Amino acid sequence: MAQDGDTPVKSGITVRLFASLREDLGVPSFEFDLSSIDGEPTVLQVRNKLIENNGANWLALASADIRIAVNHTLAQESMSLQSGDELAFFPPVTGG
Amino acid sequence: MTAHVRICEDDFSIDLENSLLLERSDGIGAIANFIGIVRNHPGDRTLQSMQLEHYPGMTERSIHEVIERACQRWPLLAVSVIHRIGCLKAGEQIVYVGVASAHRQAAFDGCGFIMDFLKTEAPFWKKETLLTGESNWVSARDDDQQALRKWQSE
Repeated sequence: MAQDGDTPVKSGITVRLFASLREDLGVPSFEFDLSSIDGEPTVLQVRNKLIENNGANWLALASADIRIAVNHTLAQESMSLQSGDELAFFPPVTGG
Repeated sequence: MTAHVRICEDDFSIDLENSLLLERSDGIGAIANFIGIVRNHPGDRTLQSMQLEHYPGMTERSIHEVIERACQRWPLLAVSVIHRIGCLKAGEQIVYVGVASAHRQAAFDGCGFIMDFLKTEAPFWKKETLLTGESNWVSARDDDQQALRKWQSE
């Protein structure tokens, strides 16, 4: 298998951030390698790893009002993740 | 039952959308509409423009789910939801909800239900820019959560 740096990692998920979270953390989406987590990866573990890797301002992901979606469906932080999943974090919605 | 959901930057014509709704089903006796408009004075301030962001894919899915739930409660014949994104000025239309049924009460109730759940579940976010140049993300309102309770208690 090619080791091209642009090739998505086999155990990768896509993480997406929206609205004020995207602005505050300065990134709309990125790939995350689940193999960096021991055992069965969950949303909580990925979130903790992102905070650990990126610094204190990423604690915003753990704020009580932040919503989580996995593959376009609202999810709890205990949800398990698999490679290819899309994990999103966003503030309360304000449409309509 | 037919359901149409459209997320777009373009404006919509209420007359055209209601005509399309009528063509999509037989037996329609009532259409209820909700049209959302960008307020020019949010609170005591003056708005210059509003930027609407959404989560492509999840937005459409969540609105379709709300429509399905409405159809389980009322005998709806056709539903259409249009939600605009991008930069909107005060006074512009943001959202169209059209609900058609044989009789008026199902259309009224279905329209209110879809709008109340859209406001609290569909992943849209508004960022206001005021005439002063200041901009801020709009906060979710407790009123919107309270509006859901009336459907949950019925």
